[in-house]
Amino acid sequence: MKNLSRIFFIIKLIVFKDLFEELKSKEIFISIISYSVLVLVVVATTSSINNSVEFFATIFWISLSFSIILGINKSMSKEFENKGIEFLITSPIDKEVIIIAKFISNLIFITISSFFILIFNNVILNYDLFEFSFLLLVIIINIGFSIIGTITYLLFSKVRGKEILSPMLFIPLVTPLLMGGSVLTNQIIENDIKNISWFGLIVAYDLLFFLIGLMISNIIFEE
Amino acid sequence: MIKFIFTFITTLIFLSTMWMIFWWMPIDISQGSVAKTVFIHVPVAWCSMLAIIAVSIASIVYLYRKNLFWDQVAQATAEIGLMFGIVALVSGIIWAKPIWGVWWTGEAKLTTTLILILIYVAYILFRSLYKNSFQMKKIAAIIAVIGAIDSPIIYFAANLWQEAHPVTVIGPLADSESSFGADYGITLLVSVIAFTLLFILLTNIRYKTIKLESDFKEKLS
Repeated sequence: MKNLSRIFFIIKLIVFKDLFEELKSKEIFISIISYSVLVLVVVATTSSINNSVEFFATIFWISLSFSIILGINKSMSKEFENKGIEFLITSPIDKEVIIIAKFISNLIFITISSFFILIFNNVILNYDLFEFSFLLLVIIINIGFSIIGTITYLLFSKVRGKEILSPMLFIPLVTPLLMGGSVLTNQIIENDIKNISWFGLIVAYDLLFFLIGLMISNIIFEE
Repeated sequence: MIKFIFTFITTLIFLSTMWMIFWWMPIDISQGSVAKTVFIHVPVAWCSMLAIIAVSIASIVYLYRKNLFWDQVAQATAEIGLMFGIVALVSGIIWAKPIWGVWWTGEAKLTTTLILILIYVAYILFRSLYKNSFQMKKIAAIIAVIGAIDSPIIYFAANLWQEAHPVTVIGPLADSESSFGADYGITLLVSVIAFTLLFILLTNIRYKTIKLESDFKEKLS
């Protein structure tokens, strides 16, 4: 029990460190939100679908997934640039605890950014989708995005061209989440959630990659 | 000697397959000449699936035993498997246009194959970019295993999403009766054997090149 409270304390410390650093620089929020707005601007200027709810799911998930790649890369590279990761690795903390803390930090960053992205989507696509079920869907998909994004960045962190390799693995791995996200978004828009199994699949997928992350944490943090 | 016999048998079966596909098999009444693409598409797709299983097994064994042999086997299999995967995708696209009327759909098998190809492109790129260290080999093995775990999940997800691929008409898992004749089954079986032998032969050649490269680098350092 005492051990568990120590783990929570360490996770809290790492997450708070990341949050305070981000509150000072605001680099991650700015990069995620501005990139997604740029995607929306391109969509709005190159098509006449800004009044259609038909493409809401597609555009929302495209802008979110691509801007998240940028955000997670920014968040993780900050840790590597300042050699923060070396201090974490050499400190007497379990590697699993470090990876869980990074999952949570990235989840907080991308979830806060997602709500801003949603507001911009609602404004530009002229459709209001601030429903509880949709917000819940965004959060459970963001859990998967955060876990997979952190794992893919860490896997490629020591090679040249990690900025290209990381999305190359990230996008294929998040495909089931994107499929589920688009199906459920359309069902929420139509106010008829028929396929609840998608929720189960997304949660199971999140859990699977959470376990994979824990299992490989010792290898990816090896010096 | 064994290698020579294996290469000779592979060449013989492969040439027989080509003869069967292009001369012996009659042109299909409903699909026309394009139906013959299936005799290349199905075997190469089967080999690419075989490659995924082989890469994941070799990677797991490497993670467990730390024997360089398994790492080299995984690398060789992934490279040849990727080549077969690309041929499967291209041959599928060539078949799909006249039959389905579109080059591409968001269908389960197509999506899975494309995603798997992307995962293995990342795996091979990673291997070509990293510094040759023990830790990097372990990470490459992890990427391969994640890719292998992910493919059935993506297949399941894509199946839930949309379905247009033809149903299985041959073998114990067949869902419906085949519209093709008995010749079709024989040619397909011979073709699968020929491409599997070709896959094994190419993987073996690639494995030997990787081993030579590795030994040469070791002697230089």
